[in-house]
Amino acid sequence: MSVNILRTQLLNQFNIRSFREGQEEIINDVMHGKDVLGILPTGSGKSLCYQLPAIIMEGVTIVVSPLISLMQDQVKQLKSTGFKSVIALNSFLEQKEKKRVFQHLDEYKLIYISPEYLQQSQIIDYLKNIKISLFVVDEAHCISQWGHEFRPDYLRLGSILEKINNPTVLALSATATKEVQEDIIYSLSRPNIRKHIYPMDRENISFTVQKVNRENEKKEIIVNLLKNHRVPTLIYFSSKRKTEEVAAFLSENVPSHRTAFYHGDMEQLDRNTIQQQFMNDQIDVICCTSAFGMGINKHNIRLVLHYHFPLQIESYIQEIGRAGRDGESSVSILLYTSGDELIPNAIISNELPRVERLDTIFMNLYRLYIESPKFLSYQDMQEKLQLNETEWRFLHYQMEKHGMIKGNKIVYQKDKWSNALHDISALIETRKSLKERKLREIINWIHEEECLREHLYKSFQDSYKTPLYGCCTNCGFTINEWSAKQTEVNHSTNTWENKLQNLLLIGVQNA
Amino acid sequence: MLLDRIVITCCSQLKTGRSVSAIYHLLKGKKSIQTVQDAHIYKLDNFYGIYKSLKKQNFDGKIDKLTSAGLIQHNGNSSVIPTTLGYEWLQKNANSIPLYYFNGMKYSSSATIFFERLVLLIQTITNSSNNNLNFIPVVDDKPVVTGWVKKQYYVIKQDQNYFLQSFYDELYDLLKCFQDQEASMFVDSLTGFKHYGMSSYQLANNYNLNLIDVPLALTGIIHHMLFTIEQDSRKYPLLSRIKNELPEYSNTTKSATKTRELLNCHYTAEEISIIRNLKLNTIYDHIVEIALYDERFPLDNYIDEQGQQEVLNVINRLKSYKLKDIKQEINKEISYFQIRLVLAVENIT
Repeated sequence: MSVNILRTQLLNQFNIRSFREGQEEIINDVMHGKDVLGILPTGSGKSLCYQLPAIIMEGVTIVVSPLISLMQDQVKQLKSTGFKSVIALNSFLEQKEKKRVFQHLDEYKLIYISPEYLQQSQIIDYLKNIKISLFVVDEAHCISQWGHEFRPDYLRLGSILEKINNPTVLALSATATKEVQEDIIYSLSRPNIRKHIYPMDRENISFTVQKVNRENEKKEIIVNLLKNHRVPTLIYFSSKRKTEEVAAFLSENVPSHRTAFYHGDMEQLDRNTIQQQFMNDQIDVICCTSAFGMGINKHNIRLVLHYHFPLQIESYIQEIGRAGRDGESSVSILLYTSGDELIPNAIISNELPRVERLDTIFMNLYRLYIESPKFLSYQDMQEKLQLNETEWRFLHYQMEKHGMIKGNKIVYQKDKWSNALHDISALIETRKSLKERKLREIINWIHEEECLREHLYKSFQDSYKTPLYGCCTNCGFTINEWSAKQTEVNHSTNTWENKLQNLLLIGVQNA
Repeated sequence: MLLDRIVITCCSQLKTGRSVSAIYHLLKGKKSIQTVQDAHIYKLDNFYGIYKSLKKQNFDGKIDKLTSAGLIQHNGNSSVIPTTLGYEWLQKNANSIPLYYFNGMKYSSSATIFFERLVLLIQTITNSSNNNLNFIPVVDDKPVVTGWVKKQYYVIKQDQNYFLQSFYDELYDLLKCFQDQEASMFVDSLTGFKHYGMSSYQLANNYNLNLIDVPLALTGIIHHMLFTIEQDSRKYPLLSRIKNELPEYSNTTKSATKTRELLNCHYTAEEISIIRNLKLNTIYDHIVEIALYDERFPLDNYIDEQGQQEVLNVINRLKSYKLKDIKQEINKEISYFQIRLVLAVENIT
């Protein structure tokens, strides 16, 4: 494929004039049938690396994607550019529609699918019979035990690749330490994969950590900051309730700014509205959980604040990476008060079943087995064993791996079960201490006295680019010296008659 | 506030006749014969199905709040009635979004489609006339909305400016029939070129409403719009088109429709029960449902005139619509089914 054809497609379909760092190299390799591991920083246009080949290459491109909302966003965005032969396969697909779609899989160019959905033997059978030009694993760090969203079904991707005749693989991620990279390569059994690793440091972002004595001081700092700057701003929280609380507080105390909140419990329609308004600069500030941001392509976010800090450095890098995609000077601010550690600690201890409970869980499973070895539905089992969703997802995979569950049967063998109990307990302990180590890393970073930039990126790369603007608080940057282009707002209060006129473009000369 | 008013009004109509969950089913528009019959008998058909997204926990919370505020009180058999304070409160708070705006029995199934078509049409035409076809549509998963807008778009495309001007004129005239705040709220919820309409939360904030009242307020406005358009359809040709090209909708459930077809072929209830392999009582339910809507329902075929009169007399004497009470006071020959039929027919006319 010549460079020219690539560029023409680029312009026609995506209205983009040139490639960004890394894109062209990765696209060229996968189009020549080479397996690729691509680590590109957030906001560098990872998805183009498979969307463009998907259009040009013969056959279907499969994209394994971790979040249903992310899939749906991407499908919507692609459709809005006129690329229609794309679909997201996930549990939301209705039974009737599913059948029709499955029978016509080869008519799509791009199929987004969740790793869980890909486990169904039915879909595998269909995929065996079509030409797959490229198999993409998006957010590939999820494969890794060391990655941040441990998803057992990601670990099964290696065996699925075999079943569907080993297509070319493209694994993409924004943040992957060397440990994680090795894990990805191992899980996909692709030792000869070509690595395209690009540094993830962002030279246009200045880093600020601000320690306060009380939580209320965080609010005061934000109010003062916003009073001086009206720029597109994200504020990250660990708690859904807090996003609403602080958004209400800001609406009251900084009435000049348009503030909204966003979290995973909101209706889809309201979530879309908030996203789109933020894109259009109709909203200045969004108080959000980590649910906001993936797949959002706003170029002029200037400020990213952390009211709570995330569980690990990787998430932090992703979240601050949403600032300043246009290359202009942008600032990240982390607000810390002692006691903030309690939230991430609680999250970690709720993610996996407690080791002390394993005995009881095994006992209950045994009782079910005595009643009938036939496995109830996945959901019923979760209920009977009294587990939350992540606990059950984890245990189900482990029990399968240890031969306690086979297909839709519970298989009892005394020795196997006691081994499994031992292994799973050990694994939980390992995972927990790993997460605690990750948490300590970010806490240490918060208390770092040397250059924040250097220490933020040190486990990912050896060096970093010279910052274009202020470096970090420890290198002497203060927020007072920062200035950015302010969002302009039309202040006139309109009557509904005026608003309706504006909306329907009355009095505007149209082409 | 708005939901408070509606709930208290419902309580005052239902009195001790029905339990509090009957109100919830009514607002959700439950397609059961019981709920539809409640709507007719207690003259609450305007509230039928006006809040389909209402969550049970929010409704229960509302009942608790109104109870502890002393506006309504529980009445032994899980029914709820307004207190004197409640009635006074209702009188005082009758201002914005008058309750007569609502006509759920008539519009509950079409209002959402009407509104979504309107919104998507505006978003499409305003973007298209700015030469922008790369926008993310506000509605994208309902063919009854998107397919319709697509078809309109190909026609309107020829002269978008003309369309926008006439559409503005019509909407302006229509919104003039409303209070300023109502009109403004409606306009703020619309989406155009580089402008996204307000979310429920934002509308609540801007107009000082409770979040829970926002969907209701918009529904009320839309119902009244539909009514106004219908009154003078020549004045609103474009809006009438959006409204009129709605898919056929029948108030009766699918199963009842089948029973009606068999009735029309002169099968008896007992025969239909055998043919359809359904319980006789289910067929009775269907017939009551049909009686609710069919103004020419042949009541005399099911109960003679003397029997009908007797039922009405008992109702008048007892001042109650409760089946059990009526049954106890009446000639043993008259069945529950016959009483329900009389109730159904008498209350629709």
